[in-house]
Amino acid sequence: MGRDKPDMIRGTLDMLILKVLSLEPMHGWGVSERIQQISEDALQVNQGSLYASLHKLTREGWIRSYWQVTENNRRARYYALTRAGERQLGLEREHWERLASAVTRILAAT
Amino acid sequence: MRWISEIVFRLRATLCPGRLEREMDEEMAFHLEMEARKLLQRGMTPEEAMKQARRNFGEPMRHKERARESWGITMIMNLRNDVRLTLRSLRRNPVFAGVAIFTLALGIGANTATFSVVNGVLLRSLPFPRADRIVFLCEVRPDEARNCHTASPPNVADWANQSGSFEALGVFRWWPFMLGTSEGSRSVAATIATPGLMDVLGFQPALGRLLQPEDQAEGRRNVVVLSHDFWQSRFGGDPGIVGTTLDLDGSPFEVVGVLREGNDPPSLQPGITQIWTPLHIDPRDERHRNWRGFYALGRLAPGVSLSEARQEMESIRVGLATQHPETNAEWGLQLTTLQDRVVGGVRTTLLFFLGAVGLVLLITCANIANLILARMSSRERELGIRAALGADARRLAGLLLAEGLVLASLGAGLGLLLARFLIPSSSPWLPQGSLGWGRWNWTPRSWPSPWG
Repeated sequence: MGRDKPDMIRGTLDMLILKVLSLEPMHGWGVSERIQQISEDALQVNQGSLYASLHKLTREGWIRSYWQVTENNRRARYYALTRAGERQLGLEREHWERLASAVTRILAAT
Repeated sequence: MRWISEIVFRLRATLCPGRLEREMDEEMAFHLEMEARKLLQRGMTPEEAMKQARRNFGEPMRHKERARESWGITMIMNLRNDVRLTLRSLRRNPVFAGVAIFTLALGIGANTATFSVVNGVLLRSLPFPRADRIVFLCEVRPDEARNCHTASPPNVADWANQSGSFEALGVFRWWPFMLGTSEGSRSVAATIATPGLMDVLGFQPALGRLLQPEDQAEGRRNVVVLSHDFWQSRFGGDPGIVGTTLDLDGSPFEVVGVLREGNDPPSLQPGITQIWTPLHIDPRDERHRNWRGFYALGRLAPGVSLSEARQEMESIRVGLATQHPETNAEWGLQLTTLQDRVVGGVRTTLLFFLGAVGLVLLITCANIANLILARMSSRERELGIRAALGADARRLAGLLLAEGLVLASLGAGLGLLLARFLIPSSSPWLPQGSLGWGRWNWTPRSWPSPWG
């Protein structure tokens, strides 16, 4: 059983999903499109990781899912951020910023 | 709140995995469709768009697998699948399955049955506190040493006075009374005992008091102690029962106490004991010295061993025999623990059986191991294909373990069923009632009758 190449820094996908869902509730495909759009195709979401993440976040209670009819009259599962998810997003953002600035400082060191 | 959503999720996942699967299928199908629609808008033909969408999406099976892993129930699902798979493969190999399960059932059944008997007879102690300290004393004629006769109350009283080996000594026998009630009379089973017997057996009153030495004095008013069962069934557990009077054989008996539940005499006698009355005998009355119609039990004093008690009692017996040659000269005295008295003859046989069936179980295990080994060599291909399809070592080990589990469970189930029929309900050479699944009870069939 080969392991997939991590398409992003481990754990950041969760944070990005939470962020994108904080803008508006969305279905899985929408989340993946939105991440690619916003990152201007710099980030490619592995679909397997995407659904594993969505299911895991649901289990954690950070997002909830519900079935709804799309504008194209198609039934789809939508995901929305919960209160706990908002808190979690705040925590992860803080953590990410600390990490990023630390990495930047190290790279900028002379 | 998190644990609630977690529990809800796991329940759903475990109870109706089918629904989760269908939802996941639908979700992924929707994803593919949206992707294809996007590509279609970019000017691809429908077939190209679908192909490209599939390529972009990747391997759906893998994705589903990973999503399932995130449900946190992979272990359970794998076990379920493995068990189902095993059941299917066993059905396809009925000979292997039959031989393996039947062998296991034989080994387990024989062991269960034997251990049930050993447990009932040897391991579970008699239902008395520190039952290993209780000694059975009986007077025997040297010329018929195998017949353990019972003891006479004056002798037991002398033993109690002269020996220091016993904390308590008592005698008892069974007696039927007629209980007069408003609806006429009916018989009740009594045990007539000296108060010391209740100390030997470690009885405790639930209400009132036990029999006391003063109750024995001739001319004292009659008293009676009720067994717990009799108090419950006859008087509905009336808490005011102490102080009332029962009409026994036409005489008034005052109820002075009720015993705790389970305080029953060793049932060496016919029937159960419903009431207890004291033995009204003056131990100094020599007319009774030859009345060997009682069972005698003693509780060893702390620190005294059975052989020390035997030595002391032998010298007391010799003394009494010179004092009362007309009644005691021909009588010896035997001391055995109550436990040995009950199971002594069958102990070795039972342990031998236990060892034998233990070996049978070992052989069973070796047999099963061989069977599985033989099967494995013909399954190399199958396991190879599984490994090639992506099962890792852990997963394969899990499958084999699940197979073992299924075989063992089926074998054990059948074995228990078998044991149920193997355990005899009674046997002429085992203490009666010690067999089977019921409550411990011991009455050796070969016990001499106190009447004979």
